[in-house]
Amino acid sequence: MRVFFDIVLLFAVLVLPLPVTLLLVFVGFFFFPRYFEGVAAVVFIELLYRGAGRDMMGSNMPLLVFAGTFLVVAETLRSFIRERSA
Amino acid sequence: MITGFRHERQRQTKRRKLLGILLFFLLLLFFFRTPVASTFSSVFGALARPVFLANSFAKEQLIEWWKMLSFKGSLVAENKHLNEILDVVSLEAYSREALRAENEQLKAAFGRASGRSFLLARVLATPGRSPYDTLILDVGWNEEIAVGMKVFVDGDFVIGEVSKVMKRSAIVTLYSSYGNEFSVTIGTSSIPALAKGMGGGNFRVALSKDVPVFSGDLVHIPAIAPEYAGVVAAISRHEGSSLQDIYFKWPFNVNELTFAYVAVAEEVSTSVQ
Repeated sequence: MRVFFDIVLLFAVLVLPLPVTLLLVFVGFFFFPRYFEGVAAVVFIELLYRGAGRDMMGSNMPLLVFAGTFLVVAETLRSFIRERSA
Repeated sequence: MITGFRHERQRQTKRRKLLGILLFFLLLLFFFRTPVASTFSSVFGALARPVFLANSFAKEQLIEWWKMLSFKGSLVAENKHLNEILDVVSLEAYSREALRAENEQLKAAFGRASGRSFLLARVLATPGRSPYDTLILDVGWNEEIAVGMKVFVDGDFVIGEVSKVMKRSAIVTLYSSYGNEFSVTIGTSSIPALAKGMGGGNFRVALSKDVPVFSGDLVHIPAIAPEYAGVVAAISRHEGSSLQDIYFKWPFNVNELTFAYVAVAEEVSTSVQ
């Protein structure tokens, strides 16, 4: 399931509009534990599409910072959820 | 066995994990500020190039199939509409070419002549895929593309400058990217103004209310050869303010661009008379 989702995410980075890609990353962060592939997708976007100079939408923060913060928040929230063991 | 409390050791492990993640991100951020990042960028660009090409090919094919599947009636109506537009545009093109030649002759008579050499480039990726308002072109070092070269589309509209060059592709940062600023003049007015990029081919200019600006006015980039930044789309005049906000945009959809022209050589000759 996770591998299939990763392939879809990679396809989204290369072909689909940014909101779709970010939505997939968002879903991945909550559905899969330690979803580092989401961060990898953002790194991929930065390396592929970013020109020299300015950061995202006039801010001084690259997209990576937002993704990183989101991953940390998602993992922290997850740590408060007690999961049922087999 | 299920326990009802958390152990201190488990907490410490979680804290360490979080700290590790934070450290990893700091390292990544540092990595993006180093020249190694551009090497990786070139590698990823080369890997992604076939996918981009396949995507644009597939898009073209899909559009053609869609047209084939369209109803005959709608096709006839569209054809009629396009023919009407073509009639108007071709008539305007005659006078435009004559006026352009006259303009060039006058500039040459006053000792200023300009010329540009263009290289046609295919657009591999449009701005919608990233938050950076950039285009990816299929030309690079191999075609002697360099950073800072201007990129044009039909009608002398300048859309941006090459900001990163790879072996067989180049990234163009559009003038409309957020926070980008450049000088323009609007319509018949020669008063310089500062245009600010708003993203996606949109711009904003603040000018004095005394300057007459109308919707549809052409926005010029001051240069010897004609360079246009866009067309005025809307004007907002607030009561009590001495300024008017002018919103202009490109008269085409940047997300549908298939080709662009890179100005590989620009010459302005000055002869003293």
